[in-house]
This record gives sequence, C-alpha cells and structure tokens, in this order.
Amino acid sequence: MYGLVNKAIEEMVCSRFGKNTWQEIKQKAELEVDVFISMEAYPDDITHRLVKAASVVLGLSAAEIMQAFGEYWVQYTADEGYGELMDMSGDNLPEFLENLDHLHARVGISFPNLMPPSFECTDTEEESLNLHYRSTREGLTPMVMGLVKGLGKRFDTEVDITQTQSRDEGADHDEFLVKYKPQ
Amino acid sequence: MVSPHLSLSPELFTKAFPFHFVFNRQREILQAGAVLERISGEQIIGSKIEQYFQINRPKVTVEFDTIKKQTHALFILEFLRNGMQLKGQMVYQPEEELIFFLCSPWITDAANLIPLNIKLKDFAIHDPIVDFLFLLQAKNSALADAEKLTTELTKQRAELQRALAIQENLAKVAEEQAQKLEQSLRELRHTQAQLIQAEKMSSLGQLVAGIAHEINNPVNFIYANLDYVEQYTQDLLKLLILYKTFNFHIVPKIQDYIRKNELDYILEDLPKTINSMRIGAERIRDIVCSLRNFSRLDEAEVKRINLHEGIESTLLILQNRFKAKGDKPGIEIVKNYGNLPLIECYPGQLNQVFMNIISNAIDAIESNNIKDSSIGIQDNFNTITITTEVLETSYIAIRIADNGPGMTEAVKAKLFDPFFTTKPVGKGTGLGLSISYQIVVEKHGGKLTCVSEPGQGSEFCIEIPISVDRQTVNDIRSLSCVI
Repeated sequence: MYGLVNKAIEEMVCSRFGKNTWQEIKQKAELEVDVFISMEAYPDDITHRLVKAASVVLGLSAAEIMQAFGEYWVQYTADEGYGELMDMSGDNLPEFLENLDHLHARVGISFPNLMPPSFECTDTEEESLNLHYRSTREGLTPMVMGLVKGLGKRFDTEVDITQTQSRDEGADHDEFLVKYKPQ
Repeated sequence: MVSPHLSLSPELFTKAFPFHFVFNRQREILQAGAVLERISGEQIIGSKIEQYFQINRPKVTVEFDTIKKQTHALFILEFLRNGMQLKGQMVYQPEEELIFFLCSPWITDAANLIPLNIKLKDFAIHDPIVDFLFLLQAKNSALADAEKLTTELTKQRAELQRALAIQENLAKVAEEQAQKLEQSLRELRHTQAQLIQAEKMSSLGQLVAGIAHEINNPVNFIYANLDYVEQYTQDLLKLLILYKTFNFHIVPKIQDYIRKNELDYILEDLPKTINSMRIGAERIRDIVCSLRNFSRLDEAEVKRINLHEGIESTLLILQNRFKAKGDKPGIEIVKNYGNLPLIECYPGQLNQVFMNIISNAIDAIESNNIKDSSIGIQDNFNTITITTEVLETSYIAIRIADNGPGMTEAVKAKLFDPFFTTKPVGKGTGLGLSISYQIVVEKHGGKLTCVSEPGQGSEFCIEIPISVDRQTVNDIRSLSCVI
C-alpha cells in the first residue's frame, strides 16, 4: 500500500481518538516507521498490522474499521489535493462510480506499484446499479461499502449498499447493489 | 498486399479529438471538436480562425501557406474566448487543401479546468493530458510531504540543537563542579594533613619544650654548683695533703681506712670525675638547648636566623640514629656548609623540614642495609651529605643527599601527595614530605625538588629566598589563621 493509505488511517485515528491512541496503536502494531511518505510503497503487512492493532485498541471489528476508513478515504483524498480531479470525474454518484475504474487506472500511472482495484457498473438504472469489485487484495470489501457511503455524502445522495455476492462465499468477485437517491 | 484505406467517421473523429478544428486555405473553420464547440458558446464553424485563435507558438503569421510549412512544429494556440491554451500539431491534407489542428488543452493545474468548464470526461480516453494532471497532483502531494517533512526536520533539528546545547552546558557545569569538587577534596586533604601534622608537631613541640625546661633547671643547679664542688673538693684535697704531710702519727684505724679506700687514687681521680661531670652537664645543657632550638615554640613569627644552627640541632636530636649498633653500620654525616647569610624564615617550620628529610634519608639507608645484609652485602659506607650554598637569584639552597636505594618514577610522582608512604604500616604517616612541601613552597615561596633514581640514592633540594617577601608573609598569616 502507498503511504497515502497509511497516512489516511493515521489521520482518521488522530482526528477521532487523539494522538495518544494513535501512538498506542502504532506501538501495538510494532511499527518502526515514524512518518509515512504519500508516494512511497509500503508492505501491505504494515496496513494489516495497523488495522489489527486499531481493532484491539479501539474495541471495534476489523470490518467496522475498514468500513469507517472507506468512508473517511473519500474526504481525505479530496482534502489531500485530489478533490478537483474527483470533481471532474463525475457530476453525480453513478457517473463517478462509472468513472472510478478510469480514475484508478490513471492514478496507477503516478503510483507504479499501485495494483489498483477494478470497478465496473452494470444494470444502471435511475436509482440503482450493480457495482462489481475486483481486487488482488483480500479483506478490503468492507472498505468498498464505506467508500460508496462516503461518495454518497460527497454528492449529497442517500445511499443504500448491500453486498449481493462475495468472494468469501466462492464467487469470482464481490458484487454490491447500490441504491441511491439524490437529495 | 496493400492495406485498405481506413479512416474514422467525422463522429468518431470528433470523439477521438474533442478539441480539434479544421480550416481551409481561406482560414475558414470547416469542422470543430464537440467539446471545443461547446465551450466556445457559439457557432465557430464558418468563422475565420483568427477570430477565435491566436498563434502563440511558433511565431508565425496566420497564413495557410506559412502554417502548412510548419507541420513538424509544436503549435500553441490561444482560444481568445477564454484564454485556453491548445497544444497540438497542424496536419496538412493536400487532397482537399485542408489543415487539421489536432490538439488538447495545455493544462498545468487541474484547477484551471474548472473556469474553462471542462471535465475529465471531456478528454479523449487516450489523451495523456489527464494522466499528466494526475501526475502533477502526485508531484504536488510529494512536494507537500517533503515540505511537511522539512518543516518537521527543521523543528526537530532546532530541538536537537537546543538539547545538545543544554547537554553541553550541563556537561560543562558537571565538569566544573567535578573540578571544584576535586579541588575541594585536595584542599581538604591538605588541610587535614596540616591539622594532623600541626597537632602532632604542636604536641611534640610542647613535649620537647616541657622536657627541656624541666631538665634545664636541675641541670643548671648541677652545672652552677659544679664550680663550688670543684673548689671545695680542691680545698678538701689540699687539706688532706697538708694533714698527711704534717701529722706523722696517724692512728692505725685511719691508716687502715686510707689504705683500704686507696686515698691516693681518690686524690688523683676525684678532679677527673668532677671534670667528667662538668662535661656531662654541659652536654645535657647543649641537648636541652638543641631541643628548645628545634621546637622553636617561642618563634612563630618570621625571624632572621642562621640556618646551620637549625640543621645542627636536628642532627643532634637524630644523633642516636647515626651510630653503629650491633650489625647495623653507622651513618656518616658529610657537611659541605657554604657561607650562608642570616635567613628570614620560620625557623621552627624549617627545622621540621630538615627533620622529615633527614629522617627519611636514615630510613632509606637502613632499609637498604637490611636488604643488603639479607643478600650478604656488607661493604656499604652509609653517608648523608648536607650541602648549603647561596644561589645567584637571592635564594639559598640546602641539599640533603643519601646513598640509599633511590626511588622509582612512580614513587617520585606521588612523593609530595598527602598520606603517600612507602614505609611499612605504622611506621610512616605519609605526611612528612607533604607538609615539608607546603612549608617550603607555600610558606616560604621556595621550591622543594627531588632527584632520584633506583640504585643512585636520593637528593632533596630546598630552595628558599634569603628574605621572605611581604605577600608571602601575608599569605602565611592567613594560612596560619586557617590552621
């Protein structure tokens, strides 16, 4: 994972629970890194250790943390300078989700070790669509749910997301039914 | 095989190049990309290109033939409606006498797209300008990171420098304190040594002075009466001789008594006995005088004295130790006295110095004798040589040399340290030379040095000024007050 992701986890914990809690999590994760560099690739293990330690320290499940993180990620990347690019990637939630794969592909040029996920929208209706999520990584499905909720907030759209198929249950990829209603 | 002539339909072409336009020899715009048309806000087709565009690069006039020749140039055109820069190339199509300007907006910041009303979806998918924008954003993120890190590093460096300065300051303070402590300890040990020695010498001095005084009186009785005893004895002896001469009829009982007690021998020996008593009494008087001279309790102030008298008194007190006893050979004292003037000094203090150095010389020679006798060498001729002389620099020197075993460098290095001794436990206090050093150096402003090598004996040299200067005297007074 790139440093940007680990930085986002740090920011989320610090803003919601304070710096001392972050230090506690870092210590529990036996992390020797002082400062994360956004553009540097770190082993996935660091992110996993952080999530695991945060789960213990905060008394939340890893899935809850990942979902909260997905929601936070939308706002964080916008604040970190990608807001305008996000704004230009779609005028509403379905359009943005439609362009999400392009967005990741283009980001991949700047982050050569990115291994970005792939998103595909099918059966797009006026108020619903099926979102197909494919990733080489595991355990990030809750983050996708948080991510879509975060985008809902960004586009001021009421969102209801349900996982309709799961890799954990033998499917070849995860699929979500996203229902949305602009407010 | 000739490849078929394939081309994009105008719809697809405009999708592939959403910002392009095509113009003819009359510079009329015949075709434009959908996005360019949209953002122009009006119908640009049919207009002259100079109505909407200005060529910024290369620096050429808006002439069809001029532009036609620049097909290898990178063109930057400014869209006069909104200031948008379009970057691309001019492609000349000779069949229809047309020029295609294939281009994209030249954007260096995603924020610049918003006022132009352009979204990312307006760019052709293949257009790398969008990737360029993402790359720029990544670069900006990296720069922001670097800036943040630099700020943090600068802050940490400042904190580190502050911490280092504090540490350095603390180390300096600690070092100063350690030095002060060491100095205090050294002074304390000196003071302790002085106190011990002063107490010891004070007690010894009082004892010696007391004994001298007590002996002095009865000896004076004896010595003063010896003249009378001698005179009376002479008178009595003359009377006896007269009586013996003029009275021939001595009764047998007296005759027997005279014979039995050998009166003739008494008459001959009695004057000798009295003379011997006089010599003995005189010797006692000399010793008493020397003891008093040595203790010098009555002379705490600076006095002008003959130093040789002090040396002689010391030698007299130590005389017993120079004599040969049993297997122990005697020690010869060699005196090379120079012509010394009267010296302004503390006589009692200097006598202590002579006593300490000469006693050490005797101890050294005796320890050498014991060592030599244990390995069967008995041909030693033990000497202590005392030399006095006036130096050129208004100083005098007293050298006390022995032919004992000498000293190693390690011993010499600690010679004047308080409590340092090479003598067996109980024999030496380790204070003698330390006190001597203080007396010579601090009290008299002089020098006390030692020249010695193993097997070569030792020589102590005391150098003191002929006259103690006022400053030293003042220092000495304050030192005396402390003691």
